[in-house]
Amino acid sequence: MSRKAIGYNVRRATQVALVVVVFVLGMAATSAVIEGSAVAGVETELPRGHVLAVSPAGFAWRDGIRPGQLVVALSDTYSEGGWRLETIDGSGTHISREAGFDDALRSTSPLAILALVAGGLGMVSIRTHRRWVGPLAAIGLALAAVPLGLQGEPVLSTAAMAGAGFVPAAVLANALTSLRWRIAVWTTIGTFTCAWILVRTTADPAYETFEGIRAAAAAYGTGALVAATIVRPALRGEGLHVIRPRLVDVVSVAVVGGASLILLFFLHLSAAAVFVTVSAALLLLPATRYAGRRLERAVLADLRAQVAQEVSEAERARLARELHDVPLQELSSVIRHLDAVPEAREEAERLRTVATQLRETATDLRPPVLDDLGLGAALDFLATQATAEGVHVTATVTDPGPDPAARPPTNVELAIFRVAQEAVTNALRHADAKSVQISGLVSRDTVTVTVLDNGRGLTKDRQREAMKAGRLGLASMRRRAEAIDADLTVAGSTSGTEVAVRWRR
Amino acid sequence: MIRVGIIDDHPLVIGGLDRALSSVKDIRVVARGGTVAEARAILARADVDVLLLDIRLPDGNGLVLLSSTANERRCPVLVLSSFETPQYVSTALRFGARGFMLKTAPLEDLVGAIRAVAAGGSAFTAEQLLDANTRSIRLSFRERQIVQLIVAGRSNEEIAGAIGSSRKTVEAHLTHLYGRLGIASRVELALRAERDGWLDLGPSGDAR
Repeated sequence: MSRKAIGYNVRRATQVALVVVVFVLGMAATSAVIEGSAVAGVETELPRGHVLAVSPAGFAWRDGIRPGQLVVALSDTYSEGGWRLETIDGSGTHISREAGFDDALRSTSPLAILALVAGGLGMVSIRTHRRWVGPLAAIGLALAAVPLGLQGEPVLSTAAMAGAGFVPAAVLANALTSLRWRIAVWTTIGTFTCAWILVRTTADPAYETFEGIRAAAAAYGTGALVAATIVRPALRGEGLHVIRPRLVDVVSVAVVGGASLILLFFLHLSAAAVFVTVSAALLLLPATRYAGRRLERAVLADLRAQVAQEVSEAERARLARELHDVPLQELSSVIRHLDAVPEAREEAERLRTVATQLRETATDLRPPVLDDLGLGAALDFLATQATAEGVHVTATVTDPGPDPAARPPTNVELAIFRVAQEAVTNALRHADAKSVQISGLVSRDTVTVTVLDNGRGLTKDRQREAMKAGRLGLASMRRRAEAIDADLTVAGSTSGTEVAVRWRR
Repeated sequence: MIRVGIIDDHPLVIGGLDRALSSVKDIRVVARGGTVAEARAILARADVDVLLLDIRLPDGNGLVLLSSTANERRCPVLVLSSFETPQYVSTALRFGARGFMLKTAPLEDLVGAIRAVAAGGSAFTAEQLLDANTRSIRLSFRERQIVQLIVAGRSNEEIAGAIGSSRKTVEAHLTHLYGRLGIASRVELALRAERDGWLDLGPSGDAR
């Protein structure tokens, strides 16, 4: 793999990891606002005494509760009005109540849902709109950080908030062309984020300052990222390409999001179960799309091959007709003239040789027998032509004669002739067959032709091998048969191969 | 004097033939045309001794014309073709042509063939006949039916009853088949049909 490819794959993997994280956090935020309650994050000497520890992740910190303050009153979660703490220190009285934060937490439910949607959209956009992934992740992190931060759940809230501060700047820095600058920016924001995590987990009094910087970085960074990747290209007129999401993506994310909310709100399933189901559903989207793409590509390739085959056949027919209509007729008339001149005997003979060569070329392009006499005669001709030293090719055909009104359509005759021709070629060239039997029953409405050889049989394994090796005879036979809606079977055993093609009007 | 008709859709070919044949003392070109319709008209004329007939014509096919007029009174036909493979020759033979030649054949061969046909003979060369007869087996549906019934051991009368035609017709078909395939008797026909698998369509082929 080239370095470029490795870089590409690393970037792709990072993007996938990022949107998965955002999705997880969006899900956690949603379940937090639905079933969680705010965490106070306080330890006190019970029932009276001093505040021992306060976590910046809990809401008590935001209410100004700090270690060392004296507890005035404390009522537990189960008392009326919920958890409540009143403390006092030199600066006055501090009151922290659960109910207020619970309401605040629940009022952020739109943000939580939007975060979930952003993560989902990011996931389905990996394949189609990669430029969207960074901004979507940043938006999702910023949105999820608010409810998670309010709830105070230590690990998830820290992750979401740190990510919301770090990611936009990191993605923006990634666009810098100079590696030195990129490293400088990454180091700066990385160091700051680590410091922020440190002061948060150690409940350092400096946390408030750090949190102010982080929140600003998250808000401005996300704004700048959206401006740079979506707004600016849109203003430049590149918008349609970048901005418009696929309708199917939006719809599927909406469906998945809606379904997950129903599961959480109304069916009261556990957030974890919903999360697993929903992520699986969302991850399935890009996977099925990928499979669909491959299928689409295969179908297109087949269609192209079919069109190419038709074009080539039409061209061959035209050339063969042209050779017959013009040079061959001219030659025969010139030869007539020369025949009257005894001294030109040699020239006439040479022109006869030229005529023979032209006839052979025209016959190679498209056997005239097929058009003039029909499929039965053409299969017979095929046998005549393929018979060589040590190789026995016979044809036994029943056919309606040369009258076009009694024959199958021209395209059917041609397609079946080509299938038989390919089968005979395969038998002689690849299977070392010594005897080939062509049997045919041709009428206006049905055609059955089988080609049976005694060579090395084209078993399923060999067929696959041949396909892999790029020997396209089989594929071409299949296409020919498909083009006229005929059945083709290729059966190989140790004693040979039988190719059978059946058509019915 | 041999009166000759020419059917070919290429004026150059007709012109060349016309000029070449008029240089021959005992031959006179009395009719010319370039379509199946014109060919049909000439075939019915009693004052034409030999018709030189092309295969590919703008409104159809000379060999198909021969097959559709096989039972009518018509003047002898010498097929003149741009291509010559055993299948063409055997088809011409089957539909009652008296000879088959390439358009580029030397004039003396052509004149010889015209004289032979005009004299009531056949102008197929020994090589053509050999090629046309020793190749693969091609049957019409009617012939296939008859072969099937012969292999099943039926008599001509039974066959005639089975296929809904007269004993005479069956005999005519058989005579024709014997001649074409170089076979002397119905036993030989049955044996060869069995041995060479004329009625088979391969192991998985549907025989009907």
